[in-house]
Amino acid sequence: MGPTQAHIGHVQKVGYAAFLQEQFAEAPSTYLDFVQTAATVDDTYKVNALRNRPFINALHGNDQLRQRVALALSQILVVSSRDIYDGPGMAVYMDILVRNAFGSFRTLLEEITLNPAMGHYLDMVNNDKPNPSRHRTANENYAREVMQLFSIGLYKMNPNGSLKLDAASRPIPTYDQPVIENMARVFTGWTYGPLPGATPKAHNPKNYLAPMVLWPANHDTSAKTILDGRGLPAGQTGDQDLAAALDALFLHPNAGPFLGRQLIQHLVTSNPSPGYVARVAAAFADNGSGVRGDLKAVVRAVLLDTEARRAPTTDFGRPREPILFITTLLRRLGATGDGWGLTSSASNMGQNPLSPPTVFSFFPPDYQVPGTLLFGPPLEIYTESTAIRRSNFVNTLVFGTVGVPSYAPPGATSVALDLTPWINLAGNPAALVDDLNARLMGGRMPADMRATIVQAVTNTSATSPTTRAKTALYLVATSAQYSVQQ
Amino acid sequence: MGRTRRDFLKGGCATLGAGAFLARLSRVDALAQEHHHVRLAPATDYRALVCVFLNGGNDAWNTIVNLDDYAAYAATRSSIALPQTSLVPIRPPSDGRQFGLHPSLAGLASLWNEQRLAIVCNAGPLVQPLTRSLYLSRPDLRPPNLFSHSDQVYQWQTGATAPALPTGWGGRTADHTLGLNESAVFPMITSIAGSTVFGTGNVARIYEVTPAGSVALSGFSGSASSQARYDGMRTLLTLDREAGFVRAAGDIVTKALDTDQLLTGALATAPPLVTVFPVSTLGSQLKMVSRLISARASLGIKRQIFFVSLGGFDTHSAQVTVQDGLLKDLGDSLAAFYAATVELGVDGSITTFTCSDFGRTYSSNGTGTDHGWGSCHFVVGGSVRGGDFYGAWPTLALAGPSDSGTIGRFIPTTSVEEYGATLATWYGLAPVDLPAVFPNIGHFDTPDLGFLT
Repeated sequence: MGPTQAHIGHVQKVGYAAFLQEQFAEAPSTYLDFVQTAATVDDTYKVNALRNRPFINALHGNDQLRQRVALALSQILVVSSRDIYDGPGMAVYMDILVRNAFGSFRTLLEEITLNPAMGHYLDMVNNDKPNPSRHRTANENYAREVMQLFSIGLYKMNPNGSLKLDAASRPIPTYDQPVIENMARVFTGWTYGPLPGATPKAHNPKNYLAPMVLWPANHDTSAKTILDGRGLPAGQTGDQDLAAALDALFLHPNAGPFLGRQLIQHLVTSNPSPGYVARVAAAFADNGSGVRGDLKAVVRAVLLDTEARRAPTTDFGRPREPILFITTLLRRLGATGDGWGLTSSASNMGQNPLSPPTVFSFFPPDYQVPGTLLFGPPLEIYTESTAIRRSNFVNTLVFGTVGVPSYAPPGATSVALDLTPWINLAGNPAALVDDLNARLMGGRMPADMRATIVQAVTNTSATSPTTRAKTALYLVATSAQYSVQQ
Repeated sequence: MGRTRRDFLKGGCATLGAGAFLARLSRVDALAQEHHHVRLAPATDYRALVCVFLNGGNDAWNTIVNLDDYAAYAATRSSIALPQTSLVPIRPPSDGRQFGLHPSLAGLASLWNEQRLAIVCNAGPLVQPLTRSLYLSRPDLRPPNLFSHSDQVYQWQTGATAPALPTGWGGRTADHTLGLNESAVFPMITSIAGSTVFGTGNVARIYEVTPAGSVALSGFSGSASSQARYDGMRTLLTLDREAGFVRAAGDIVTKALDTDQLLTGALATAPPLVTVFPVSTLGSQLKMVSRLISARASLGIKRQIFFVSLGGFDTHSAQVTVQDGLLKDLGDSLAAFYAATVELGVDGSITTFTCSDFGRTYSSNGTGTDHGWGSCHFVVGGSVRGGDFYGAWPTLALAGPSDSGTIGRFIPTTSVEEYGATLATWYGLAPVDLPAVFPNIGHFDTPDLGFLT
């Protein structure tokens, strides 16, 4: 979620590989307990507690990498609190991502499939077998999206992420409509887990806290033909059909490049080379000990690849998305405070935490910057309004006060910046800007940008060191140059 | 390096991978498209198009119901069928049968009766006209990724299927009609609904505002230090533009800063509107559109394209309840917007039209429907030849001649190209430029559907 100065020093000392090992071992910052017990005010559904948790974790949790990966996964395996307006329910879903971020993708896929928030979001819960006499079909929503968005995507891929082409140079769909209709029948018969002490029924009442359970009579037991002509025989239970279908997705050659490319885009760069994707896909296929789908190996491959570690080329990197823009800035500047009240700023910038507008998340992985060949997904939500609001957030942080929202627990704080380090440097504009270059831009600030900011600071009265410090901070943080994570 | 448009047309579908993803990888092909460009003289009149995008795929078959065949409708749609007496009767002369509008669209009934509302039937993405047998026997002739939200939204907004295009038909229309706005500083395309490929042209870009207007930059005053900081910020925006992300981000900020003052000033001096809009998602967007139109003289602009949207139409479940509310927002907001254009005296100059990912399956899954294809759309305005259907109402039979399969995903008989071409031509696109905006327009019979005078 962005390094602190201490972090940077530590990584330099122990090296990236060792740092990753430490991060893998850190205790997870979870959601459910926090959301259920947070003393938020007038927060009936605890959704405010939920949406603030990513920021609170980011500012205080040690498991920075796990949070970052969970955030990425929440934008791939999407459930939105916009529709599932239930803090604890969404927390259970998030904890699946947090818990499995460094685990098995097969396990992650199954837990998500049986998660009731997901079940309601994509209509798998209470999806009964077809009733031809009433012209009623099985619901296709989850069947379609689990393939299109959560596992294999629309087109057959090579391991390097490029599309396979047929003899007429056309891409090859991974599935067609009949496969969707068959998969819809696979995912039939599941209902909410019964509430504690209640008698199980065919359709149990809403329960977001326990995995979905099967009511066998509502499962379609006829034969099905799913991916690549694979047949599921008649007579299988809902569990058997589900396991077979998820196995098929998990074992599909697309899974590695499809997931791997998106993780690279979320963690490192929006435009990975085919070789980079292939190396990450290879780690998905085999973690080095013959195990497929080991997300720890995948994350390691993403972060330690030579392409991620070498000096960045011009178009390397990714536009900072609002949540990470905020957390990275705060962490790099050593901001203090609990972290309440940043959600409205993120939302104004186009990214209401855990509340994307649709299952296609905040921005699609294939968004291209208009007029170019560059993929730049986070720029899809960078419009005139959200861009100016981003600058206005920096203005509030640097020149004003980030307020505590009325729903925050009594005594809660938002964030505050201690400007002392930069006030102390204000007498030497070059040193001030160099410090921010190192702290915020990894020493990569372009020379002309540096000169411009030094000039602006110099043009600010030397008798106002605070103003000088704020000027430099504002100019770096609001710059288009800083808006790119490299 | 890049292929020309001639190569595309020669090779047909077979030479090119279909799909949005491939299109975006082969952007160089699109940029290399040759196109005629007619130099248009500055317009003396004002015209605007307003695209209302219904996100999620609006179920057309409960939006408009064939009342003459209600029994069959009720039998097939069983659990989601609307009560017969709740439907608002309309009788399109070109079809002759009696139909009923969804009860929530009662606000549109008077527009229908005043002949200001037209309905375009069974429209959707097509590569070429298709029958059921052709659809079933020739998968290569189908648009790619049918029934997928992202792809169908993309095809509706880009006005292309195969070959795919990386730009929107609104943007391309703007590219070819910029001359009509002479030297207007204000952008031609404004979105009140965020980013959209619809408004992205080869040159044209959307200008985005919120329903409350543009967002002003905070934190600056007349002090010397504030000025030094502002100057520094503006200078930074001119630097390091060889990096694509930096340039893209910087351009947005620059446009925001340059346009905010112009827009805020124009809105402040425009006379206030009396028309009351619904306090709703769509109502608030269309209200801002009407305010922008009221300020057109100050903005010095003659041609404008607006984009607004309403989401939530993906009614896989709870359709009756959900669609009830959404269509009320749509109907009431369209009616209010038309009333505002009358108040402004520009009702003949504004054409509002809906689009959506797709219609939905005619059969239900219980409480909802799944992704379909052909859909029906509304066109509203003073220049609309309203009170009638355009295009052909499909045969609403499962596995019937209009069905692409067995559960009522109906094959469109009106293409997005024909729909868009009718609108764009009225807007001012020269006929000779039609193929540049809609490359496949030659595959279809009716580039002017006739619903506009």
